[in-house]
Amino acid sequence: MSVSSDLHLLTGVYAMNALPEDERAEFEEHLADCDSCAQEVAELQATSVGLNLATELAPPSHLRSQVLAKLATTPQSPLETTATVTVLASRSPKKWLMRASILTTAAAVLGAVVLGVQGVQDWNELDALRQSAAGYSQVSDLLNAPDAKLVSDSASAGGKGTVVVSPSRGKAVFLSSGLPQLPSDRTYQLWMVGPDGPRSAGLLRDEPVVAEGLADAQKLALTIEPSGGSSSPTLPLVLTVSLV
Amino acid sequence: MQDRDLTQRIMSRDATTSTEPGETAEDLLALVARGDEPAFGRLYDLAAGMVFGLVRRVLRNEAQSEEVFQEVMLEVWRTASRFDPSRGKATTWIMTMAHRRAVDRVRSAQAATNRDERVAAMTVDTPFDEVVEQVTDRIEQRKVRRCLSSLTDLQRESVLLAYYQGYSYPEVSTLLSVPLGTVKTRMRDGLIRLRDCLGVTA
Repeated sequence: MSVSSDLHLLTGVYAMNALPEDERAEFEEHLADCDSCAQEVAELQATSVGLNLATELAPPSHLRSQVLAKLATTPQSPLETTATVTVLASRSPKKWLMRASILTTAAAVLGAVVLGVQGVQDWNELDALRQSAAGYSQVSDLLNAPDAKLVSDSASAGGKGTVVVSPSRGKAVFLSSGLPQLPSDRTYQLWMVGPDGPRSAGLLRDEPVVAEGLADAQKLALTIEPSGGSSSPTLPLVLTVSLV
Repeated sequence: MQDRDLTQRIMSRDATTSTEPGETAEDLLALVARGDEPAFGRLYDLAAGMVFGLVRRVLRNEAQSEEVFQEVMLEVWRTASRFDPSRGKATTWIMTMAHRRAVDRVRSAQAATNRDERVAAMTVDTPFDEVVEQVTDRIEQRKVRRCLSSLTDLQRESVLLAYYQGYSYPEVSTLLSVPLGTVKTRMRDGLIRLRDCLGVTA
């Protein structure tokens, strides 16, 4: 009997958590590469759960408030999607922690921006640093809006855009990291895209870009334009970040 | 008397359910993944009876069961974002997590001592008797009982020892005095037969 068909026989044992620890890890590796095993495991796990209909039992009622009271101090795993959205409305301790971690993320992105201009040994560098500091205060100010969200998405050619947006203030701060370097006669330009077409939000050389007057803009989009910028975007879009 | 208390608590879940009309466990998990605490409260009401029933059954100790139950509910809160609806139902995901936690507790070092005694003293018809004792007249439960009865003795004992008592398959092999390979295949055959009998899809 081959190793893989032998492993395949373990679907039932695995579905009932009856594998010893070391074999469990080995089988989970196999499972990742075996669609038919994964399908069978899913069905047999559902079957095991069906068995349990026989034994429902209400827990002591005081446990409910105990568990709910722990939510505020129990951090959650982030949503694992390419575009992530985090709503920052509540003032609970958990949300506060989340807000702190988003500030850290924003700081890290800003750090990358600052590092990016370190080679420039003149006023430009100082200006850029000032801009970043100003951008940082814009970010932290915007995070105080009750409906502030952090949204990010990746560019197909590499790099990432991160946006802090507050619809109620009609304002967003855009930060990029890891975008491909452009020739000196080209620049990245950011656009607010809504039902009435794109409006420029500014050039990325002044990053972080603060987009004000979002109105009904649905997304921010990034394009590559001649160094002075354009009045309308040149396709293709390098990156889009949905704001809704 | 604790047993009477247990009996009264069996199946009392319907009285405490506060799910909004049409709201599924999948809907609730999606909200919980985004930090929605009221949604978690509703998911708790939906799942607590199933989770506690299973944990209590596997662990058999009230204090340990309450601890593990709380760990499971908080794990649901922590890891809700990892639930993938394309890979099965939300209740299956939660119950698989609950079962794994309960089984891990059974196998943990604290339990090791009296576990050896349990293995020695075990009579293999116990779990099935207890299942039969606890089933009520709900249709699904009659169906579960009927489907369990359709298994061979070895299939049924393997499944019940592993699922309800948290024994690993080498332990089941020792308990039933059958070779390891036989236990593997009987657990799988048994579950497949149950799957077909219960009409389960993933």
